[in-house]
Amino acid sequence: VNQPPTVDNIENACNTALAALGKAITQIEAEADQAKPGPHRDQLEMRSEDLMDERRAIRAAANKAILSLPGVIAAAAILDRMSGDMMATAQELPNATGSLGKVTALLSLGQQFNDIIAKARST
Amino acid sequence: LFDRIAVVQAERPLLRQFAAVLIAVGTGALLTACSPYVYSDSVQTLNSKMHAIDSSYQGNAQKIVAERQLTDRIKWVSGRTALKLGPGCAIDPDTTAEACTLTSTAAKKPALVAVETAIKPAPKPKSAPQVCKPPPVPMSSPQAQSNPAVKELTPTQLIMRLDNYAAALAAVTKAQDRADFDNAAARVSAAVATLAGPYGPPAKAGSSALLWLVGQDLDHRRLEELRNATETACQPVHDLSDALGAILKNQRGDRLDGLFELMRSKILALHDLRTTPHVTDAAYAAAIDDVQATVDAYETVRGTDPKGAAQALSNAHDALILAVRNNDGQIDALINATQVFAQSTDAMAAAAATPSAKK
Repeated sequence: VNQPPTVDNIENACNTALAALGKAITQIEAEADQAKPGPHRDQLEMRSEDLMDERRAIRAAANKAILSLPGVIAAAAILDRMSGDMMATAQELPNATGSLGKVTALLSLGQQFNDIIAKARST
Repeated sequence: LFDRIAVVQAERPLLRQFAAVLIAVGTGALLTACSPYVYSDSVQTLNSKMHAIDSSYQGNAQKIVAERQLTDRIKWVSGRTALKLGPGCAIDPDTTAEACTLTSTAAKKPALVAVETAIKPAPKPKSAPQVCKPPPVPMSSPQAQSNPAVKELTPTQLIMRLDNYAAALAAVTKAQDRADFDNAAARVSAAVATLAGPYGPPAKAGSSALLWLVGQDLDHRRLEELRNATETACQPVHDLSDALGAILKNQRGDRLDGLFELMRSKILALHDLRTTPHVTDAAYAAAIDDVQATVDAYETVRGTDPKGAAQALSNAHDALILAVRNNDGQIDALINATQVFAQSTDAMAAAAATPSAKK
């Protein structure tokens, strides 16, 4: 059974390709630095730019591969659904004011009791 | 007197209700004895002092570099010194510890080492794998995919999922409500304290405990919601953090490549200017400053650590899960953990939205 690649697999492959291109760019630019201004140096510079473009293309391809991994899409879907559910639940949770109202009502019963006892004693 | 007693007897249902209140108060008083609200002020103080020392050290290190650059600049302008990019200005800068600097082609002194800013290649840190419990529904199952039509996400969509989740967590904790509740509870307690007669003080103590009990109930329901949510989100947050870390690292690589090309173009232009007759010191100094600005931008981008930021996000969520899982009502600790997680998602969003470096 073919397993889909992981983020790590894609990253490692990408890093290997980028490092190889980077090495080539370093060599070409070192040569360009030593070359006198002219067509040869211009050619070297252009080649270096092509390799740079290749590095960008490799990173873009890696991003695309990562963002289309089934595990990543499924994880995003779970989080998306959960966020919606949680927001709805948060709306339904009792707010502090409502609970405080109930407590205040209970406390008023206690106060009434105090008043009654106090009045009974004073009589 | 008998009339009064008759009135009291008529109020018996009321007394029964109050007895229930007293039982609740008694229970509350017992629970209050092991109050869960823990404030670690001393830890916070130590933390802020360490931050102050760290930023002072970093600030001085930056000033030393700036002063050395200024001295070099004066010499370079007056002597029309041939300049080059130092070995730290590499195409793959994470392979060297040297800082990217503008330097004289004849320079013999050792290059500045980017100990403070450069990313040191390090093994990828992984959070404890045992934090996530096996999900009830396999992640790749059709049920888990609310929208199976989605074949590929964009980086923005990925960040938005995490951001929305952090916002939902914050909505469930409702930190502001908790603060409001505590304030209101204090006001009610104070009001009850004014009760006249010999029953005033016990009533005050009892009302505080009762308010605390209601607060606990409020927190308990939020806690349950948080517990369910964070457990379910555990693996998805790990997966998305990994993906986002890799994508942001690629974005950083693109920016470094772009700045690398720009530095090379500018240093070549500087070479031309150096040998051009009748160029004023001011014009030459401006060209040096231009290269230096790009070198600085390159170093700034190089100092960023998107993978580390993604890992911090994942770790913050793990910490939140453990806090909720082991929590027995410490809502303040949970709010803190949620805020840390929310800040991590903000940092990720900021990292992704960093504007182009100064060119």
